[in-house]
Amino acid sequence: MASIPKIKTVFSKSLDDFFYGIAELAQFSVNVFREGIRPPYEFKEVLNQCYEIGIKSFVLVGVTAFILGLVLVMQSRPTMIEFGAGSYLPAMSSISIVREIGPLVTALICAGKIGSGISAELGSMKVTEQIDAMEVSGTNPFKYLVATRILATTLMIPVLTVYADFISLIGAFTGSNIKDDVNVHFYFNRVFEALHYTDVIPSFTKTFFFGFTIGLVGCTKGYNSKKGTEGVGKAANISVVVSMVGVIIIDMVVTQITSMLGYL
Amino acid sequence: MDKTLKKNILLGFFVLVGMTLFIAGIFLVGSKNEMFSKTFPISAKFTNATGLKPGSNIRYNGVKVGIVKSVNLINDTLVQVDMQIEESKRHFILSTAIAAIASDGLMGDKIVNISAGKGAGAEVRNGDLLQANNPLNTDKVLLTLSQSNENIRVITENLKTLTADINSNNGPVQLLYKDGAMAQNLKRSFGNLDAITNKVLNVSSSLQNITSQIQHGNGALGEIINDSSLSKNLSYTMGKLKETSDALNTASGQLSKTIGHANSGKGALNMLLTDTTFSATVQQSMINIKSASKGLDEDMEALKHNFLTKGYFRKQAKKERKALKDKE
Amino acid sequence: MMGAMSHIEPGKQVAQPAIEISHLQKAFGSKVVLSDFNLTINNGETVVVMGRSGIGKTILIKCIIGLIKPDGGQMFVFGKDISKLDHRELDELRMRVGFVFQSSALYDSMTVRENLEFPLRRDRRKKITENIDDLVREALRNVGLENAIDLMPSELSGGMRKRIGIARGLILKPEIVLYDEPTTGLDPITSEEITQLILSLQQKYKTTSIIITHDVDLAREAANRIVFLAKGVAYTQGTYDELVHSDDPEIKHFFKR
Repeated sequence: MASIPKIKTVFSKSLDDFFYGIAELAQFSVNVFREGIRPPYEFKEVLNQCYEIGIKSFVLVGVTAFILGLVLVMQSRPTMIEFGAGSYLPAMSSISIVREIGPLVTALICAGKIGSGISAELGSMKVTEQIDAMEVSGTNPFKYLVATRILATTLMIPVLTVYADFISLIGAFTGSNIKDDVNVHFYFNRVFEALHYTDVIPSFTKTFFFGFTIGLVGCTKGYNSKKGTEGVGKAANISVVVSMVGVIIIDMVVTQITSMLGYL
Repeated sequence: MDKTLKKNILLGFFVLVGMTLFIAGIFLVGSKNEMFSKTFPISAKFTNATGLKPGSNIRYNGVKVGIVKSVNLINDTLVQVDMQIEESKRHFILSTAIAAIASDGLMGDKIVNISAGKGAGAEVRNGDLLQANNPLNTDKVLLTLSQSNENIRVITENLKTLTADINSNNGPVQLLYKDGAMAQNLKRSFGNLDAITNKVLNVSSSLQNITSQIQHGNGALGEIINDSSLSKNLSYTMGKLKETSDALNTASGQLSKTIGHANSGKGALNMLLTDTTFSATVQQSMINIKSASKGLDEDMEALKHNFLTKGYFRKQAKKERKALKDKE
Repeated sequence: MMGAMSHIEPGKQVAQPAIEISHLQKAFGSKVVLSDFNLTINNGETVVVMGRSGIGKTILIKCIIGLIKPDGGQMFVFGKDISKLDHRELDELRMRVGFVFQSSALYDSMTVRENLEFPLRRDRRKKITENIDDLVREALRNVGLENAIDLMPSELSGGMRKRIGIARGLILKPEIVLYDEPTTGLDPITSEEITQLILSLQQKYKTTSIIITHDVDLAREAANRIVFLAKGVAYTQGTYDELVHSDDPEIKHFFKR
């Protein structure tokens, strides 16, 4: 039924797909900004999405963060004791949690949970004409569905990261207390003594980019998903992969920039 | 609508708690970094500021009072370190206070430690330049110590020859008193010994000084000492050094007596020949000196194995090897 | 049949057609869907568009409401050129056109009530907050599903979903309703029920309609005129009787089925 296209591929099939995906993302983000800044604003829907994204991911993020904090300390404790640096456990755990583990784990978990959720939801809405129905009802689906979700992820991932950091520190404290007897006050004193603004601010800032990436990728892949349930499933899958890789690349870039600015 | 309201209330609560945690965290970090308290500037000039960075802690007698603001070279030998001190700690710090660069724990960052100086002074003013106590160079101490040890060994050799001569009874005693040169030699050895004893005493007292500083927690080695065996080692070394110098003292005293006798010339030869106790005394002195020297050797060895000073000796050995190679 | 033509829109000329399509073109890549489509629909008329699957019927009505941008040609709805409207004007126009989707397109995340409220809340022409509930209940009464108000779409059967879809399409009391295969995928009895529902709502609200369907029964009962879409053009048009007795092999084949 479809006639044969004149040019089959520019480079190769997979490379073409890759560049096409990048172009798609770029175009989509341009649209998001263009549509997003024009009134009317969908505040109610933003709140609704914040609830869906923030509160419904809290337990998952919290449990993971706690366990990772706990495991981090339990794993590194023997080595640090061996080097006679047992008293550096709180400082070590706080810096690794605040700088890296908290933001990254939150972002990766959310890329899995929220990214795939968004793209499956938008994909199925697209396939079942719900997006068309919205447009017909005088609602710009780009504003109502896409901009709100991206804004919500951009705002909620940082909040979740703050929770993840604290919960993870509590996990690390629990981990220290399995073998040692450390009191809370002493522990958290050491934790905050080890931290500096240059640890907190860059790692907090990067979570906004993480959130934006997760939202953008999820929406793009969902919104542009192919017809049929297979297309929706594929979109969700690709969205998870792309947003995870995106998050890690951003993490690397931010780390590099931070170190170039002399904060590391 | 009711459901939406409930959701929004939950969301508001969620975000509020998150933000509170964040702001509380920021303030906790801030209070540890003196971001929100009033500060005033002072500075100090050091010859070496290795490891000191903006943000490094400043402690006064071990209590945190501020952070380093900047570290700048001002000429070919001096580094100026600008510090921010909490306003509330101002009245503890007098203008006579001494700043030194120290280490915060075993693997910790470098810190500036301020301690009270001698004598009374006025409260420190904004922009004051504190007197800097440049890091006590353990390398130098150890170098002196090893030289002393070498000297002692040479002297011991000399004395050994001498005693052998005395013991042999083969006329060299005569020679001893006839030959002024010999007497001169002996005298010189004695003088050398005395000087070395003083040197060792100095080293020992400077080590004692370090140890006491360490024990008072305001020395460079701060925390390590409290939980490592180095402290024990050091005090052991100290004890040994003291013994050595005591022994050297005794020996030199005895020798001095001998020479006094010899110099008095009154039946000295006779006495020397007949009095075996004198010979025995000299011998005893020799043994003492020997054992003291051996003890010193052992201490040196122990220091060599101590991980803190290992680096120094390794460097030294490398240098020697290199020198040897160059010679070849 | 032209009785419904009268005075639906005061201030507009009676003679003005509700929808006027001329030389409409649309292609996807190298695949031409509509090459030169012309159609005029008068006020109050019910036109059934028939044709084989994938021939571009849905594309046609999505062009009418501006969901798909055509490649060429002109479309006038209430005398306004769709392609020249800005966002706001297009939205206003869409308020006056109801669209019933093939898959009903109910919002999965919302209850039936919220689904019906959605167009009402989104209607920027007027603030109708106080009687939203009344309007929702009326719409549900029209389709006979008042007790489904708090169900989720996933809890509804296929026929119920279609009904709710129709209720939502009509809730703003549009002057034109576009039905995209309203009876596809339903058993014959339910199809008949939906057909009757469409007819009764037609009677009640006096709307102009375009119905896309393969359902010959629906076409027979509802159509004032049937347009047969083939080869990218309005291949043939006429009343049901005319088409049924047509000699054209393509149409014959279609109605024989």
